[in-house]
Amino acid sequence: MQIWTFDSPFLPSFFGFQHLLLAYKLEITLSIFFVLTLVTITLFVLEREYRKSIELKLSTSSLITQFNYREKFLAKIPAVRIVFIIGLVGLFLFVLFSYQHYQNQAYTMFFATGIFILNVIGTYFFGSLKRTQQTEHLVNKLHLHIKSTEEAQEELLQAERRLQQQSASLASLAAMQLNKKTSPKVFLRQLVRQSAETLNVGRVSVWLYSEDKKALECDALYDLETQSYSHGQRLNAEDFPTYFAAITASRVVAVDDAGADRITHEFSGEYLPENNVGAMLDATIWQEDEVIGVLCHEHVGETRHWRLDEESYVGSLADLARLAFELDKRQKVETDLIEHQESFESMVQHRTALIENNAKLFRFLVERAPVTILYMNAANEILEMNPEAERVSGYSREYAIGRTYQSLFVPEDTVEEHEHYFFDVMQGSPVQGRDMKIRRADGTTVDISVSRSMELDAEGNPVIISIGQDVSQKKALEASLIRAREAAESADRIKSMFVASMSHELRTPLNSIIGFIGVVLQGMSGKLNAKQSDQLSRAYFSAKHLLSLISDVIDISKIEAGFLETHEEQVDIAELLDEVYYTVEHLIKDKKLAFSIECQKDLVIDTDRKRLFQVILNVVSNALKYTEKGYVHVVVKTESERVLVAVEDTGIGIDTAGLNKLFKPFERIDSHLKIKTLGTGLGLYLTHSILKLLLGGDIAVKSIVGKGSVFTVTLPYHMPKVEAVQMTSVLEP
Amino acid sequence: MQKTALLIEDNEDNLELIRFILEKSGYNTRFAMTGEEGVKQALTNPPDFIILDIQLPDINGLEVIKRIRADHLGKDLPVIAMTSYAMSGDRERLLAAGCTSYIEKPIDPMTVMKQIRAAINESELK
Repeated sequence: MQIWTFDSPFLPSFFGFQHLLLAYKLEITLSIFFVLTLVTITLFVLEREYRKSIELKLSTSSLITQFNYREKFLAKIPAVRIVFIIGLVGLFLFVLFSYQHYQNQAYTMFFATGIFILNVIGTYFFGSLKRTQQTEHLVNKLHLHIKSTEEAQEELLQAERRLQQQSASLASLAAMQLNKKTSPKVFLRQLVRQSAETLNVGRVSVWLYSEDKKALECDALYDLETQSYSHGQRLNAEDFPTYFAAITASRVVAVDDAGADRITHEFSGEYLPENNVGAMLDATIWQEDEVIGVLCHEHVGETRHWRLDEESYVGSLADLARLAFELDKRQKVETDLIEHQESFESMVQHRTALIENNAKLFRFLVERAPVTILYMNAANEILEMNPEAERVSGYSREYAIGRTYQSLFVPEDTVEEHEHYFFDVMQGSPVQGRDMKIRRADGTTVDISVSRSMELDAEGNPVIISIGQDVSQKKALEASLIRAREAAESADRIKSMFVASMSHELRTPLNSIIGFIGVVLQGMSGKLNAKQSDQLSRAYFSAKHLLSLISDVIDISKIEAGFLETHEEQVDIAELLDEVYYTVEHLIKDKKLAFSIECQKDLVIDTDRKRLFQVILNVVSNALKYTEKGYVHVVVKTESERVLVAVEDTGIGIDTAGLNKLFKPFERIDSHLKIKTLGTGLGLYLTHSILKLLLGGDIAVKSIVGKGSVFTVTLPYHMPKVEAVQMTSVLEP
Repeated sequence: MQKTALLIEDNEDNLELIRFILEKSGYNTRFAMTGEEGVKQALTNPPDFIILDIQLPDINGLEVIKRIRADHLGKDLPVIAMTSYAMSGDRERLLAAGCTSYIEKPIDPMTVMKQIRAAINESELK
């Protein structure tokens, strides 16, 4: 029973105030008791209140305003509980030691029971509090759950409301679109306004690509705050590559924070701050696999979280916009189609009128044409004939139609020939201007020049169109012309013969005269005295002059009449010049002139030898004739196309007036020197004519009066073929 | 021995002229005034040479030469053609027909004999 003995030595050591404690042991015990009881009561009250509040919370399921102090206190309940237990244990120990005497054991028992009861009650309330607290947690949890459910419901409701608005807006827009009178412009304005109102977005706009696809141009922008429209802004693609790439890549681009997002970051410099844009929601407008524009939502102010339904709504709007454009396009196509149809109809009408007109014109032409027109089928049956054909043939149209061409028009002796023509025509080779004899109704024949070809009619059947001209008169005219020509030709022949015989008749007596005078002059008939000889010489040279005059006149008249025949042969120029020299040798010697010929050997040209000789001789004779002293040089030069024969003299020369009339007939140069020379005055004219008209050459002259002249004869290597009228040679009958 | 010339010429004056010149130069002469007569004389009694005018009243000189040359008696006879106012090509035609030489009228008494002698000698040399 050690426990009950209060002799325990440690008490004094622990309690210095042992006697004090012992003296007031009852008061102390009771006051501790009282405190503990107070605590217990407080716990009880708290617990009650707490519970009530939870119950209230549960019943109202609304938020409870929690008092801070209680919250703090509740948080300290475990500590309070420990203090409480320590207090109980301390009290128990104190009671145990202070009431160790047996006379005090009744107190001990009493207090112990009190402590026990306190303990029980306290423990109960603590537990209750804890449970309440747990309940509160539970309730709180429940409450949170309820709250979130309600919020979700609210969210759902809002979403539903939005969807309703959105679908109402879409429906109204779609209805508007069905009304075809709305132009895309008006429709887009309506669309941006509706969208702004439905989504409560500050700025909604439609941007369309420019023609070159390099920029977006604002077609319509609706400002929700001012309820006004604007347009015309422009965004160049090259300035905002990321944004342009993004809108092309996806149907809807939702940007919650426009300033921060990568896509719209490019706008953060000017566009976003200027328009105070916080968030953007863009939908691309497509047309035939091609982006044509953007429907742009710009939330004014802060950032905004775009909901899926909003994105989808915007997408639908973009589709509606696309539809608007396509409808417009279709409408335009329809309008165009109608216009085309109308213009086509008017064209058809015009063409019909034209065709009718042409047909009229054509009938007129066929009826009035002064040519016979026949229209036949492949069997040569007449299908149609015109009035001229009636007139020429003497058959009436009514009679002829249905009968064959052969039975009507072909004379019996030319049946085969006609068959041949028809065969050619059917083979596809048209007959052009073929003269045919045609039998008339009265049995006579008429000459027709016929052109005939095969064509295909509208059904593709071969038809023969035969156009003829009555050439009886033409034929008669031709015949008379032929007769006239023959007469003229014979007249020419007569003239030619006349000239030829004249030349002979004139020359024959002169030849005799010259011959006999020559014989007498030679002294063949006896010696002459000086006077006789001089007088006979004069007669001799006069006769010679007369002969050359006659020859020249005849030559000229022949050349001019075009019937001087040429005879082409190879002529060696050097040989010809030698021959000329021998002819004029006596003149050179008489005058004591220097004479030289400069010509390359074997220079051969094709020309008329006799005429060329005549030409050169004439030029050289002239040079000698008009040169009294000095020299005459003949120089031959060759060029690629021609040969030049230059005859240079140191004679009297020719003045300008003389040069002008040099090659004219009957012009002799009367020099002031009054040199008496023989000449016909036809020489150079004849020379010029021969060169120009027969030999294809020319003659030119350079001269200085008193110094001399250079006559240059130009000759081609090959004489041109001159179509001369056949001059009857004396050798021919 | 004197050579004999046959002159075929229709113009009496010309005939007289050429006859005079030839006889003065020492030749005997005979004459014919038509082509036919000339051919006949030339072939029945051939002369040493013939001087032939081209323009004759019946047949022309070309035909005369052809006929003379056609006969074996006449094929080597020198025939000197004489014409007044020949056309280009006449000379060639005459030479082609067999004419030995060709003289243009009017004849020059100084040169005509040279030409005749040349023709005869040329002919004999052949």
